[in-house]
Amino acid sequence: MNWVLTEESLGKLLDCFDADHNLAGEKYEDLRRALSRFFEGRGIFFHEECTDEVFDRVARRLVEGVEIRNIYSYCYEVARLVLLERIKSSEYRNVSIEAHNSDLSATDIGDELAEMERRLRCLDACLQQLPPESRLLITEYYQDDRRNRITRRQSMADRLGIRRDALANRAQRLRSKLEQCIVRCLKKDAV
Amino acid sequence: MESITDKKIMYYMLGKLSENEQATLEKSFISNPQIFAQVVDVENDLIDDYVRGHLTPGEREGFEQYFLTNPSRRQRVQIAEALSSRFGQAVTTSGIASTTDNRSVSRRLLAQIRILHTAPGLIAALATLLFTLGGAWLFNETRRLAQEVRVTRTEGARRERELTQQIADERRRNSQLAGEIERLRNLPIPQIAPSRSSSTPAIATLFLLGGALRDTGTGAIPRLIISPGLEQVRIVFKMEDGGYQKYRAELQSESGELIWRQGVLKPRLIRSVATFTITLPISKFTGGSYTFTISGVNKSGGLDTLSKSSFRVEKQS
Repeated sequence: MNWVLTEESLGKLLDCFDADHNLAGEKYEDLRRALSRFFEGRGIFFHEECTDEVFDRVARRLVEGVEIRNIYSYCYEVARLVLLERIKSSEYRNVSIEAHNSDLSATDIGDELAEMERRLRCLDACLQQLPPESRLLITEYYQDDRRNRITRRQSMADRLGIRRDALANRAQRLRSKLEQCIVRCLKKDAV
Repeated sequence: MESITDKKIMYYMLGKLSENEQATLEKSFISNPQIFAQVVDVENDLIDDYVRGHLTPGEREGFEQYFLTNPSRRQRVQIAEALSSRFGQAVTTSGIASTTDNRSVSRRLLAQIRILHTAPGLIAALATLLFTLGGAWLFNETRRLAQEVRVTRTEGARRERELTQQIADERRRNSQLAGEIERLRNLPIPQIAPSRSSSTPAIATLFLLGGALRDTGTGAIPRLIISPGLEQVRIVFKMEDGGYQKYRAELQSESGELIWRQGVLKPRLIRSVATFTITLPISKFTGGSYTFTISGVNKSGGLDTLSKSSFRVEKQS
């Protein structure tokens, strides 16, 4: 039986992150990204699906009245369980191979340049959607300067008057937003 | 507060951590948003360094063999290629990311323009010439670089496809091997297949599994029942190939007495499963426990014991 996330259960889930639901939303998104990377790092192809599964199960427990003291640790334990179940499932191995093959067939030598051009077109369109200060930040943060990376980013943080990790967060969110925008654009372009 | 080095995170990305270390790191970055930010930072930098060709050969190998096995990660790398090319342009042409160096270059240019105002006619002509030559050079240089970038990208795409194909082949092979191992494990032990006809001697076949193929779950010692009229015993021994050129097989009785030995033995290889088939006269077996040993002959001529299998022989009257 499939259990569906309701408004009530989502509200309870967000409460675990923060009483302020705007802040909670951000924290939820951050944990979502972390869980997704966890599944991805374990070789799960449909990592977003597994991440949904984790949140669904946690929300369900909350509705059932379970008290969760640390939402992060709890989600980690549930994620481990989902991972083990996924690895044990018979479809896991088949899906892995199929995913590889479908990925293979998707790329063709002749199309590579055209693909790159499409990506660049989408990137330009997505960059245009960012405010100038965000474009400046992401460009400066990820510029090609491996040797001075640490000191450069620290001085950026000092200049902006924020902590180093807060700057990293800001740059990552922008990059992630840009990546999502490009993926959406490519999908739209392919239709 | 717990602290995790960027190097450890990089090892995680390249699949170089032990299971315990990986689990600890995963727990840390899921439980602590600051550590997750650090993980993403290292990952983005790793991707950018790969795209820009800044990784060491070892790092690149790990990146291609481990990190790139996931389609989402490959997609991020492709996007990073695009980002990398546009970020470079943004710095140099639109001035979006103006650095201290860029500003000083601008100031130097401004200073030169001020000097140019002192002799307008001659200097304007010189400036036109300089701009024309510079423009032509820039045009050619841009075309050359664009060509190089195209070649590099095509080569990168080819490498990635080859790698993906290798991974898919390897997985398929592993899957087949796992199936083969499972099939072997399910074989009844001992499997005695007496065959008797007027022209061929009666043979009993004993299947033995060694190394990782051995079923450690049951712990039962295989039994060989010798019925009256049996003339030969065929031992079929399967193990994962040890990669040796030559092998040696020995059969010893319970008391350690050497019953039989063959010094130069070559297995039949199917994928990575080595099968040794030995046929011995029934007279070699008087009953009791026996040990069948397979050793690999190493390069210096010494022996590496690879597997010891015990079985019992019972005579049926």
